[in-house]
Amino acid sequence: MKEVIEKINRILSDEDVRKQINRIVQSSSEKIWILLNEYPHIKRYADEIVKIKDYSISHLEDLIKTAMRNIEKNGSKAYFARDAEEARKIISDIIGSDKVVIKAKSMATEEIKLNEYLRRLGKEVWETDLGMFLIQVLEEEPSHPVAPAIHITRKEIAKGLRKIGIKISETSSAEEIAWSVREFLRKKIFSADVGISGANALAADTGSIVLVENESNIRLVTSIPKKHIALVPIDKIVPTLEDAIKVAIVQATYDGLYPPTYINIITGPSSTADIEHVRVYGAQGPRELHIILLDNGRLRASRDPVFSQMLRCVRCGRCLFECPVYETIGPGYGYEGFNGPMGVVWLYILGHRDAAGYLSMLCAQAGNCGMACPVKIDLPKLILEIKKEYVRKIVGEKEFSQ
Amino acid sequence: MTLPLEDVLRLIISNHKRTGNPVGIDMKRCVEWAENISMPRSGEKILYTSCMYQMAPYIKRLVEQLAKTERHGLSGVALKLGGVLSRVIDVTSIMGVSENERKRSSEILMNIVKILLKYDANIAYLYEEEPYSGALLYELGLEEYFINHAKKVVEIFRKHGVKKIITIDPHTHHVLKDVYPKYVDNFNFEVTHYIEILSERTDLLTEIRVSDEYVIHDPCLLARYLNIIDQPRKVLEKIGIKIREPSRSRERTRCCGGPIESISPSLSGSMAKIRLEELSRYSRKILVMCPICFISLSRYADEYNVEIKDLAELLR
Repeated sequence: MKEVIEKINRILSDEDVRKQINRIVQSSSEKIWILLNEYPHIKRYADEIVKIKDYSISHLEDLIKTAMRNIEKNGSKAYFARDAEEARKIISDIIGSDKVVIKAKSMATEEIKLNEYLRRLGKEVWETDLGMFLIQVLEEEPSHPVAPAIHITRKEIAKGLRKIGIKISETSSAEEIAWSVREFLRKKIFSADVGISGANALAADTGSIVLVENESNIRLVTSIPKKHIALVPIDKIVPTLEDAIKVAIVQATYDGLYPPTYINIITGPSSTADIEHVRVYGAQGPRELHIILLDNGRLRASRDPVFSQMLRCVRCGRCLFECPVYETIGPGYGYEGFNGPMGVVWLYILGHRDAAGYLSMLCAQAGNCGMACPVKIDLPKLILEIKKEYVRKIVGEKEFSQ
Repeated sequence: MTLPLEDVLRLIISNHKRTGNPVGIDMKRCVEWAENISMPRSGEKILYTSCMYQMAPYIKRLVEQLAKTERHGLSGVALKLGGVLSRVIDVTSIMGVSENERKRSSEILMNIVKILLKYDANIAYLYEEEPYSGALLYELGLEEYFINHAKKVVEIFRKHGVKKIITIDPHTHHVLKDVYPKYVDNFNFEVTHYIEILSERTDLLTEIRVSDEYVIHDPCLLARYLNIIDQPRKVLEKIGIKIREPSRSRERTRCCGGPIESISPSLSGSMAKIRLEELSRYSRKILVMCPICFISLSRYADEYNVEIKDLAELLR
């Protein structure tokens, strides 16, 4: 718990960072309220997602089988990883002797601590989402599932980028920074052997993954290298491609980026049949697509009468923007890249019970997150459940029974 | 800084065991305000203060003490000795709440009672027998303590023949309305918040006239958990208050920081400041409807040059 407490204290005593977090969180929150007024039909999509996800959660094992079958039908390879270690092993086997790995932003790869692992194996790993790239260069942890670098000031950004040879000054504009990083990353992207992404959703009926973005880095990561690996937590599986696209749209709106610049649908490796009408893999895109389904506690959670609803989560991160504690200390209300209300509950599901427990004690039960959640997860209730369990543990069973 | 959680919880548990409330005050202090009124001591319909407004100034002192401890820090070694927090806390200072602070609580309660008695002269008050609801135990996750306590509270209600309960603060209203029924068998009491009554019977307010302007701060519990949003507005309009609505108002209202003041006074304080900064853009006069919101926001009222009033303070 020392790390958690130190981070809270560090942010509490840094007024500049708190002001930045506070400003960004409030403006992001406001933007989403405006979007939802502008595009009211998306609330209807969100209501549909509740039903789709609830069906998926209660048929998870069947959907996994269907999805794996259809992934293989498309000429991709499907894997099932029970935990982080298995997932890392599968990924390193696929990468083999290849050297340069580029990545799209993915909470799932954070969850299994993939970057650390690959570096230990001697691989060169580059995050290509600008926010995640900054997190990587500054050796930070993401503070939001969609906006990971909101707690980093421009001054720190300039300092970090200069360290890796990107010529930026403290007075450089955001545009100048973005352009310089683009130039830097282009070289990495075009020399990469492997691209790793997550997915917003996976359609069981077609075996397609859907990824929503604005930067176009996902398009590059999933098409330039010869191998594409997608790490997909099993709670992202929905029955149909139509469902999967709806998930992407809802996710984009509730994180404040609607309409999204790009929605990628990827079904199998790139292929052509233009030579004598024989299908061959590896046209301009990857020759291989590997989709790894990650359990890591989710199947167990899907059978939990209280916590199964968390698997509806589309990772929009709106609950963070509405949370009064997160608004105040940002990633101080988090651990290992899992932040805010959804972060606390995910930490619990993924087995970080102490971190989740400690953080749950900071929850003010204000109820904003529960109201903001597009898929109606009762976050205040789940956090209170985590709190009760933690309190029982630290105060002691004996004390309780007296 | 953060406080050692285990110590905070133990302090609250021991206070509760000793006195029946989390601050550790003598429950006699909860009835001081009623010295000069005589209401029936039993009855079907009761006013239930849960000692919340009465405890408020003591909670404020306790939080000041906790904040001091938090700033100076407690070493890990000292903590292992156990009970350190309760030893470093200056109880005399907590109990030394000023006459003025107590008067404020009394006035709030008297204002409410006067109107409620016009509404129904038979409303009872349990005086020394009135227990604390246990809301804080529930909010801190001390479930088993809360359940045991809730059962005792309900026994007391039943002993006094209570059927209808009028609450006056959001925390008590929330636990009685939403939580007790889950933990206590056959919880068949009708629970009403006094603001709900006033909003339906605005004729009771005709003699009250306050021409003033306030920015309104909805309590999280009333707005998001209990959907009591329009009712206070109706009451305020009736007594002549011009309401300024902050952009984050009604169901979008923001936390005052209060609920975590005992876990991390500094985080709680930073949250209060964010809300104050926002509210003070609308008016120098802030209207609250919860004793916890009042304590939390008033900690920094001078810093933001604002005046904070509870809705019930205006009902004179």
